[in-house]
Amino acid sequence: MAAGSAAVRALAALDVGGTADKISLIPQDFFAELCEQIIQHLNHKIPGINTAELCQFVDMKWKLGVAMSSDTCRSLRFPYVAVTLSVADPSGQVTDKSFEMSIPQFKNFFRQFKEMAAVLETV
Amino acid sequence: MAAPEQQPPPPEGSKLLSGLLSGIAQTTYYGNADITEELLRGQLYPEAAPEEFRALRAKMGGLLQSIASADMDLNQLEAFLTAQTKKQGGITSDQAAVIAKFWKNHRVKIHESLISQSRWDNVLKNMNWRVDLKSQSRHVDQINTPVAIVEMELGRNGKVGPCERVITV
Repeated sequence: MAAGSAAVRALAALDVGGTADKISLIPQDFFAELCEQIIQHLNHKIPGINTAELCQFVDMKWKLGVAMSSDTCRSLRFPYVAVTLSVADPSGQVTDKSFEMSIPQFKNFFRQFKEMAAVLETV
Repeated sequence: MAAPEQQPPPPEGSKLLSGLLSGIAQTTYYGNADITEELLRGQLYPEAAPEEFRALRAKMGGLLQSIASADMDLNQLEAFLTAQTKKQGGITSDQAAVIAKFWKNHRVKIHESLISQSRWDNVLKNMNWRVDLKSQSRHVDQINTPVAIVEMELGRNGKVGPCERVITV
């Protein structure tokens, strides 16, 4: 904890807009992981995000389906979740991105968003 | 009762048939193109004539296809194999036992393979995310807004797809 407070005090000297206060609210192990990723990026070990390519989330549609039968298998009985994301590219143009997930894949998808929501709450 | 077609020698028959079924599964369901008919014959039934082996492979492949297509449970499997032992040009009860054991061990994996063969839309291959904090911005109202950035990799079976990066707030 002491090291964390020292870091926060050091940041406060450079602080613009209360960033240090926000950072001190982030769970410490998560903050450590973020710093690790930044260091890796600066060392050219992982790619960064090209913010010029980022799309803005607009809408999400979903459906739950069951694939019953196909030409290779008469009895598929495969449940899946199909999602369509509407995203706006930097120019403002909206496109749809569609994909399918099996139920285990969907559970993981859902869990990731729950984690994201939890982090967004704390920051 | 009609005699069944020519069979390989009984003592090792079960092991050989099991090997044949594995070989058929490799090409048909697990996408292994290296397991050719000639390879299987050479490894398992080197004494058999090519046409004889081809007929055996076709018969066993056909049975496996029927079983896999219906994704048979144990009851359906037993009924199906029993019927096969009773018909002309069918199978012996030893062969039925080998096929039953093979299906019990491979059912889940073969079914997953068949499912995978029927998924030709984009699937979510990978997903990464992070939460950013904008500490300075040209637009004052965005200062200190937490932002979630999600990177999703969408693609078709076996192909690397476009990497979609989506930002959400």
